[in-house]
Amino acid sequence: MLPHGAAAYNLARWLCRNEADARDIVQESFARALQYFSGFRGGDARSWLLAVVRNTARSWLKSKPPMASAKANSGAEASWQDEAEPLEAPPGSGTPPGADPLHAVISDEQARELRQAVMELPVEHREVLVLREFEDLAYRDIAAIVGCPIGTVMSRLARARDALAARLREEARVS
Amino acid sequence: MNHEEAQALLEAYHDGQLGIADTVRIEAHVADCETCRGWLRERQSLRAQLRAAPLRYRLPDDLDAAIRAQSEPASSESAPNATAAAIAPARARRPMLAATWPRA
Repeated sequence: MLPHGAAAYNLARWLCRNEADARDIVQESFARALQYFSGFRGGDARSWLLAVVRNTARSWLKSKPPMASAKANSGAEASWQDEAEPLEAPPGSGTPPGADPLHAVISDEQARELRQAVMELPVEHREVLVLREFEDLAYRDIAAIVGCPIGTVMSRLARARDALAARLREEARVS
Repeated sequence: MNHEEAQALLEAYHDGQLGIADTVRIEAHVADCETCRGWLRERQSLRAQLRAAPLRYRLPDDLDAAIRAQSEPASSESAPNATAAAIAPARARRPMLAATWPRA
């Protein structure tokens, strides 16, 4: 069995930043994974699958025609702002505030700004942030998926979080 | 542990990725360092916001069904073929697995 479709789609969707390509990347990744999976018996299947998704998505990003890249980077009209697409309710969102010390109440507007801020991170920073914060993977697993040293995972995470924190501070100041 | 050493490890501490010895040493420093405590509070606040916001994209039902259907035949195969066995050896330990993971 090779499920983990939810994690695969979430990663693909964050990397390529639009639904149609994420669907193609996930299907291609499962096709690739299944070619090799019958011999796979050890290790963490979810991390292994996410490595396939990550590499498929990065190949796709490199092969994108320049026009598509320009459009995707054009800011306000960017193709990733399709907010009609379903997002999962965060875990624990049904529990009352205060029950969990890490529980934050966040408005729709703040959530939209946060999503936009993550989308605009460089892809090298975005991928480690998604794998750490949304998939809760250890540095060691992220390093294997991304193909870089553990120290690089940590420094990319630090830069991603510094950028998000700075942006949230700026938005709080302006609003 | 001095402040510079602590700063280099704070990110990993925040992520729970340090061993027990470094965790004890950094906690001793943080207890006496308001700068490090402030930094950690900001990181915890960011994490709380990331977890409170609906940021995970939901797998579309039709795609879920498609990949499950796609995965069915392989899951019933009992004999791994030679190529697959060479790429992902049975009971491979993590370092070997990492080395044989597909690269773009």
